[in-house]
Amino acid sequence: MSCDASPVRFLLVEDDDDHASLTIRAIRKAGVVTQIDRVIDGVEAMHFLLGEEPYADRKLPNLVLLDINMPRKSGLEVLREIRESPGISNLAVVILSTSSEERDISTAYHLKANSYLCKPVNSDEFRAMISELSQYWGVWNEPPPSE
Amino acid sequence: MEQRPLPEGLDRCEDEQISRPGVVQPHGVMFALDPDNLVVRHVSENSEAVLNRSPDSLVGVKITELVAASNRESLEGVLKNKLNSYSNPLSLEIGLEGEGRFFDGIASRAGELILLELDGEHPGNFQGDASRRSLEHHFELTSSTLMALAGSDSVAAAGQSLCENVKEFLGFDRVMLYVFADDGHGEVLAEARENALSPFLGLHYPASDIPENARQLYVQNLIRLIADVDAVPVDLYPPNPELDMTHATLRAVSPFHIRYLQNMGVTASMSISLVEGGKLWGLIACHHYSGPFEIPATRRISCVHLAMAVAGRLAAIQKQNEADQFLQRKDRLTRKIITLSKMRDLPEAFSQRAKGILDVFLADGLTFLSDRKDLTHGHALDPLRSRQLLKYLSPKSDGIQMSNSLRADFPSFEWREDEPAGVLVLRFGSQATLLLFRSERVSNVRWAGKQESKKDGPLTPRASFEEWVESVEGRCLEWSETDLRLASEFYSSLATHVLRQLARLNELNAKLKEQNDEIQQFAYTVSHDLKAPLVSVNGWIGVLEEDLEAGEYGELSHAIKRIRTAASRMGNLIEDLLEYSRIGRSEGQVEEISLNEMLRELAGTMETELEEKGIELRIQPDLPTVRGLTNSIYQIFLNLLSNAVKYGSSHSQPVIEVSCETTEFAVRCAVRDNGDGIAPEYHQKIFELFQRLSNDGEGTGVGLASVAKNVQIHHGECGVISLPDSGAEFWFTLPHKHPDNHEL
Repeated sequence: MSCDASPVRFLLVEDDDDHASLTIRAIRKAGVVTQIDRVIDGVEAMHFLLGEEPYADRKLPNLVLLDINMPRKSGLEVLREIRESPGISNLAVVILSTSSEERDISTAYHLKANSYLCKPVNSDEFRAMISELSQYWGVWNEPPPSE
Repeated sequence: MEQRPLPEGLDRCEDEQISRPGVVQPHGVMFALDPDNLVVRHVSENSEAVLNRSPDSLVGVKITELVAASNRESLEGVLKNKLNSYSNPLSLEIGLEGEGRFFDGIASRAGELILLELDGEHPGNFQGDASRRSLEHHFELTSSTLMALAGSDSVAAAGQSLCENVKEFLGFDRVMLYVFADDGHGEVLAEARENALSPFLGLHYPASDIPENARQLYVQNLIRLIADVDAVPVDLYPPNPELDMTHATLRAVSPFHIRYLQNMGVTASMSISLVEGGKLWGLIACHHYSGPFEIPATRRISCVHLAMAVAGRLAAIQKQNEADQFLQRKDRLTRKIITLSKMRDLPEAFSQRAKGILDVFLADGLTFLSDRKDLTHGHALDPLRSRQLLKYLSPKSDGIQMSNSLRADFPSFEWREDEPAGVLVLRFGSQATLLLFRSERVSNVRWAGKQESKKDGPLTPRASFEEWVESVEGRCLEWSETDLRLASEFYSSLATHVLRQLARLNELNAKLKEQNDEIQQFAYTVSHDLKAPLVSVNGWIGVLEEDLEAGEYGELSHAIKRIRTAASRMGNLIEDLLEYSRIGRSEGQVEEISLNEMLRELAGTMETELEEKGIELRIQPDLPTVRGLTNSIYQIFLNLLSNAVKYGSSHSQPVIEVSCETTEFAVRCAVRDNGDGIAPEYHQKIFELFQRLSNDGEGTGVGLASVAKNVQIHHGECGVISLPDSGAEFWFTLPHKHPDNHEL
């Protein structure tokens, strides 16, 4: 647990509105995260993380929750770009996807994702997962020092 | 009976110099003359016995001095000009005119000298009639024989006529037609004999019976005779062991041969060569058993002329028979091949046609080995053993190989008793092998006399002459040249077929793989894209449960609405996917389609929607007619127009245009909108299943993938031309000619 109660910020990169609503609701319920930002696809995600317009005022998140299957730019491409961009390359990125395909999991780890989570179809499990995720990454995990 | 001792130190009678024996048969007198002055250089020592003149009184004398004056001119003429011994028998009067005796004289060349041989003493002077006599003889013999031959279609039948005519003409006890096989051994194919004699018809004689040196001589001198097997040959005076008697009539024959004949009980013999293509094809062999026998020169010569006339005909009949047999078998083979090539599965084909194939090749069993399936039929090595055997064959991977005696050729194979004796192997690379087997044929070859092993010392004539049945163990009926020619044809046809089959298999495999990949991809995308809305539905139900429990009713209707939306999305998705999976499966007929009519109909169904969104739809008035599957093409236009309405109508005054143009190769259709356009990096992606550019919820991501698939069925192509803010043109082509493809 971090000794100073600094704000915990998550960035949710999710194109599906329903999934976004459900995830955000669950994160809020966990009561750990101070701020949840959501972008609707990978292009917006990079704009946000790189602090480009219209996200110039953004604060870097403690955790990026990244979906894989999105229009315009897939989550794995975003992951690669994050790892290749100075200033944000060490950000904690957790993949949160409906896909349980081995090749997606393999690629994600190859691209240095911190963790891979598969969205459960059962809603109780889904909420439990999001709750524990928030605890773990928001409370227990030490975020990387800023670069 | 005195027997001449066999020459010592002679290991094989083949080495004997039979054309230079140095001695002559004693029933006639041989003079060797100087070719320029016709002076006698050598004379046979029996001149005293036959002519009452001692040899030394004859040497040095001009030969014309010996004959009656009336003969001198003709004698000199012949000696100087006509040394071809088949056309010059003279009737000479030896001694003084009117008091002398009459002989037949034959002149020939002997190296640098000339030979004059006298035999056939006869009463009176027939010289005036000599030519008529020989013509009569000749006509008598040849006309009847040639007529009989003309009507014969087998060597045996022709040979029979020949032997009968010759026997009647000459008077020998036995006349045979003896024909040589490829390996030199001989067979008596026809025979005319005195009834009391045992038949020699069908007997086989080893090649060594008529050694090579004899055969060569027989091609140069077409006739040889032995007037008296028991007579002791006489020397020449003075001796001349080098005198070349190749063309002489009185040449004494090899003592080996004399022994041989004596063992057979033969007392006199004559044989005439049948030469074809410069090689000894066969012999007319005459044997006498009742004492010495002399044939007058003119009759002998008639026979030689006859032999020259019929040799070609006999050889031709033999060739014709072989050719006929070949054609018959080839015909059967061709029909087999046609049948086989219509069947796709080769192992199955062989299985059904096995009996016919065995028939054509006179085989007893076959085994067919291939990558996919093995098959065996009849008396053959089973596939496992066959494969083992193949390892012993030389490593040629293509072509034809054979063995007539497997046990002798592959002794280390560990043969089992009941396995075949011979094989013919047709190999088609590493893909397939056909083995044709022949069982052991215990052939009863009627060998005349026991074949003696050369290891036992010098080759000697057989002592006994009983018929000997030789069992040929471990051998099959030999693969003949005909068999090999047929096999070669079969091989060529099959090779093509095998290759074609393989190509087809490869093609099918590739297609299968492609389809499999498609299925995998489909399954992946389907499961994923159906999962997402399910997560939403369950998620919102969870929210409902929580809120209801907590007594919070604020979000209820929102939650329910979301559930409905998600569920309906699933429903649409499932329908679209079903539709997509059906593309190419349903059997439609290729028809002539009027695009004008189709578009008019489509426009009708979209009227309301177009009006609501204020979209103007412009359709080119003179759209062409195309050939294709109606439903499929309808789907293409439906999807493209649908997309244009959903995503391409952001303009303040949205316009959608449909146009077509006909090129040399295809009809190209386009649906153009003036909406936001699509960035180039997505142009490829959007045609893939479930690749959407935005998540506005309207599309299921199947539409353009459907378009692509439907276009593919028509062997066309599709794509989009667009830049951001400049609208989008979706195009596709329908080729006029469909490449060879049984799907359409």
